[in-house]
Amino acid sequence: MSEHILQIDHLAKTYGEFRAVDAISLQVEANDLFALLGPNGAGKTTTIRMLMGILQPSAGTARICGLDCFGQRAEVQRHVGYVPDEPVFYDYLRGAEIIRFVGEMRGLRRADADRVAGELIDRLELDDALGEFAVNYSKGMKKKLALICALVHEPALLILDEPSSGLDPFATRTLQEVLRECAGRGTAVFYSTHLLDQAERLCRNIAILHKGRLAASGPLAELRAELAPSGSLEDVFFEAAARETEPADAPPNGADDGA
Amino acid sequence: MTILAGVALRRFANRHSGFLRRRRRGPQEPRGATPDKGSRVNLALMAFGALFMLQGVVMATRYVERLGTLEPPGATTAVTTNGGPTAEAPTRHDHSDERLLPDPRFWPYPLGERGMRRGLSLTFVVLFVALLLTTLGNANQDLGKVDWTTEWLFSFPATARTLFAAKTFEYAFLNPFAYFSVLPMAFVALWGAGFGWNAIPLALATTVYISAIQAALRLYCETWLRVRCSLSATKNVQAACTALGIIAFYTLLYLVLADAPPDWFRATVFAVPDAIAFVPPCAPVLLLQSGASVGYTLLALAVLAVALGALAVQGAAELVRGGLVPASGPYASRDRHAALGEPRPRWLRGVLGKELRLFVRDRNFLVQTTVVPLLVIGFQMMLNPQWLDAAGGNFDHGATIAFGIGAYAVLSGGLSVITNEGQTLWLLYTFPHRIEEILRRKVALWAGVGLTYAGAVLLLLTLRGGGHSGWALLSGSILALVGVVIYASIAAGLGVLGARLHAQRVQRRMRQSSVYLYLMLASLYSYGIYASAWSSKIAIVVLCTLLACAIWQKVHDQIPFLLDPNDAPPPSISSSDGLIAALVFFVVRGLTAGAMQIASRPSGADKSAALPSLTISQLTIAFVIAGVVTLGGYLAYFAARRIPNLMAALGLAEGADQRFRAPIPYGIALGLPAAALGIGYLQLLEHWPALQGLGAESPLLGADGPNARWWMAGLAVVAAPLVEELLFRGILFRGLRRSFRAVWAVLASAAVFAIVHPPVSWIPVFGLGVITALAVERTRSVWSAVLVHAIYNATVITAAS
Repeated sequence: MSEHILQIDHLAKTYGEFRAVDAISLQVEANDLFALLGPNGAGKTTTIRMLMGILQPSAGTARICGLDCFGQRAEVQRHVGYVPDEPVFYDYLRGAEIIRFVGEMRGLRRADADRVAGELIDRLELDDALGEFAVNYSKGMKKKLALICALVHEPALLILDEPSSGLDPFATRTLQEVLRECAGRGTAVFYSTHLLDQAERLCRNIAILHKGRLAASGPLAELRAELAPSGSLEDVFFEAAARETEPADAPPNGADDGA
Repeated sequence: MTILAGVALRRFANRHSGFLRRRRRGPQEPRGATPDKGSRVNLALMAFGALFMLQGVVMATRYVERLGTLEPPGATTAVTTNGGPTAEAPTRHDHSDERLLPDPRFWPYPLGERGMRRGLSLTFVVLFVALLLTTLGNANQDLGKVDWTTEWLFSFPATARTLFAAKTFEYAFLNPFAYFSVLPMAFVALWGAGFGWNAIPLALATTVYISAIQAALRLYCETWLRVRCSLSATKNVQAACTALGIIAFYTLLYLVLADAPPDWFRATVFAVPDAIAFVPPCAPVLLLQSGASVGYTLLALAVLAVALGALAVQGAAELVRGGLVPASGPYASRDRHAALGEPRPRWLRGVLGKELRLFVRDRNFLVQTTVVPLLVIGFQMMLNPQWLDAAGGNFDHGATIAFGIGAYAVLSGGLSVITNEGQTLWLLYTFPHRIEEILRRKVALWAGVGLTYAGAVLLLLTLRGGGHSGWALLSGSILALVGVVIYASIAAGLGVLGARLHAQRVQRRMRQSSVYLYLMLASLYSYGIYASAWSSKIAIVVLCTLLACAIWQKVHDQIPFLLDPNDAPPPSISSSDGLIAALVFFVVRGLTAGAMQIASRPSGADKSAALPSLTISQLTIAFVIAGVVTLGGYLAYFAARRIPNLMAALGLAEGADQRFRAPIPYGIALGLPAAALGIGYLQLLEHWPALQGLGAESPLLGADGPNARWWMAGLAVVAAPLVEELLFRGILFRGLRRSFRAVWAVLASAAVFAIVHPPVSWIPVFGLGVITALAVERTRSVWSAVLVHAIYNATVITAAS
């Protein structure tokens, strides 16, 4: 057993010649709010899909609560809540029915599930939409619904893919509060984003993914001191991306000079 | 307008000619693109299309000829049943059965006099209604969705009228269904009217005309549904259209296939006024009017089509004047009372509850899965009324029908267990359950649906009576119901294996070949029920059960990779390999033996005389050739698939982490009880000759040379153990054992091993199969099983001779 809730070791995913994720390693602990940053196409979603056991890693391992994400997928899901980038639900189930369905599939007692979900429904202001078919939901509503479904069993690790895309400013703020509370209760939160300012406000630890490789990772404060002492997370991000790009493009000998 | 029409054409061409471009692109696939293996299917579809067209022409010919002989109900001369001449008809119809096309001088009388004109008009009406309703019901899944592709088009600087006109154009010209149904009928009618090869362009013009007025109506109806109806109401209308469309389509088929036009049709034909030909869908019939000017008629048709199209476009544009989507439209389905605290019965929880709700709410799917099978069966009954009578005589027929109906009811639901999850599949992956378990529950649901149908049919047939014995009723019913359950899981398995989850369009997610494969397999089981010999029934049930297991093993391998566009499960030996290898072996053996029999026929012998019976030497040679071909082929195939540690996996050699455990001592030790079993069974046969009646098919061996004994020994003690053990234990048992517990793998492999033998030796061979499988399980070496088998065979032939 590992002491980390999420432990990623040299995780890689290749599509033919293309390396979507290239040997990344990182850990996330309880109480942690961890942001995986990167531009479009950096490999964030691929990484998250490997954590969810949807994709098989080409190399390396990812473990959640000591369980292998691919080999022990069903077991892992007891400990994880997941919000995908673009959640899709059954068109002709109502919001309330979907939440209920998720609770049943997770084997929760209905009173417990209703209590947790009810509170979130109030805070995310979804109560009006609960009686509607999911086919009528906007993207933001689907995102809220997915968040409720992901939290209904009070997971040890919450994985979110671009959680705030499609949310209105009110919901974004609520989302940040919810994530902070989760972390306060001991849940680890691991999320991907390309919104730097949000990560800066929310996270202690970050990792920057660039073209499938880990350009930098660690506590935000340390990274800032190292990479861009005077600047913002934005500067840290560009500096890390630049450093990552140089050795990749330069010949092997030039790599030492660049670094 | 031109641009939009161009885009429509482009989309159509892209969808249907992917295989042409694919060749040029070369092996480098772009990342993330779903590999589309449709190319061969497309070619096959084109061939099918051509055949279909030809079939359409043939059917239409028979039909049109029969229409020509229609008599008013009051006329005294009866209409002959085979479309041949009536008393009054000119003799030139005598050879009508030998021609592909009706005689160009076919119209013997002015068109209006007989039923011809009105009959054809009515046919066109039914055809038109069938076309329109099926298109409304099925073609446009977009109708049942919130987003409407037209919404996007509305963001371009074009008027609503232009957009709708382009859409009408698309519907009119890109409607393959119309080309397959209208074209043959129009062509045959025109040819018969004496237009010669001009019938082809004229038939095309007719098709486009009918397609165009259908497009106009469809555009208006679709727009009306989108703007005026809520989504759920639209779905309901679509469901009704599907059902009615099927009825119209089958009515047409019934009219065309029936031996003679039915009375009600004749009555209707002579009851409708002659002016029916002026109803827009029938207008092409006016072309057939003798003395009519073709040019003016065509012009009138074109004007009519354009006018109707313009009217529909104008009407649709009026409909969206107040905005494309009404505010209440998609949101009208809200249930304000839905709340979390609502109690729910236990059986409606989880996957089952979700499935049932979705099933009941998606009316279109509901109709397609539950009503359509009933309609299809009903019309089949009308077309072949002798069905039921046959079922009355022999309950096996009834059981076959019950199974067929159950298997058909399972078809669309079972095949789509995974594809109807569609984009929502991610949600299932977040649950702490294995996906197979979730799928299994869905299979159970569909098996339940199928069982309901099959059970209802069985009940009906039982109540109908017919003097069947209780035993026949019981066994037939059990076979039919067990079959439905087996085939529900086969359908679901094929559905998972044939799914293209990354395809955008819902209809494209399921490979059509899965449907055909399923129907083929279902006919295999029907044969099993229908077969009179008990041994064949048991053999087919065992085989189909194992087939289901083999398919689900593949599903199990496939499931972790369903959402992975790139990776596939690691190569390994599967049960399906074992089943196919056994099949290949027996086919090759039979072919080789047959070839040798033909070759050994004395020259100059009468070709129709019976072949000389097979000698033991020929049998041995055929056995060895088949064994070498099958096993060699499979070894090469496994090697090409790069199965790791192949020799160890087959139990042929020791692997790095797989040592043999004393194969020779175990082989000898287990060979003794096997031999004892064989001798014991021989004794039993002698004392209880009734067992011989189990259907002994001792091979008719011809006279052989003095070496017969040696050939026999070589076959029984060397060739048979080697080949059969490698097939049944090396491949089949290993394949089964990968996914099943030892006891099931042992029993299943022994069962297959037994059913490929003549029924009289099922019992000892099953025992031998169990013992050899145990030997392999224990020693990890296939050689121990070969030893057991050789000892058994040697003992039995010694004792028997």
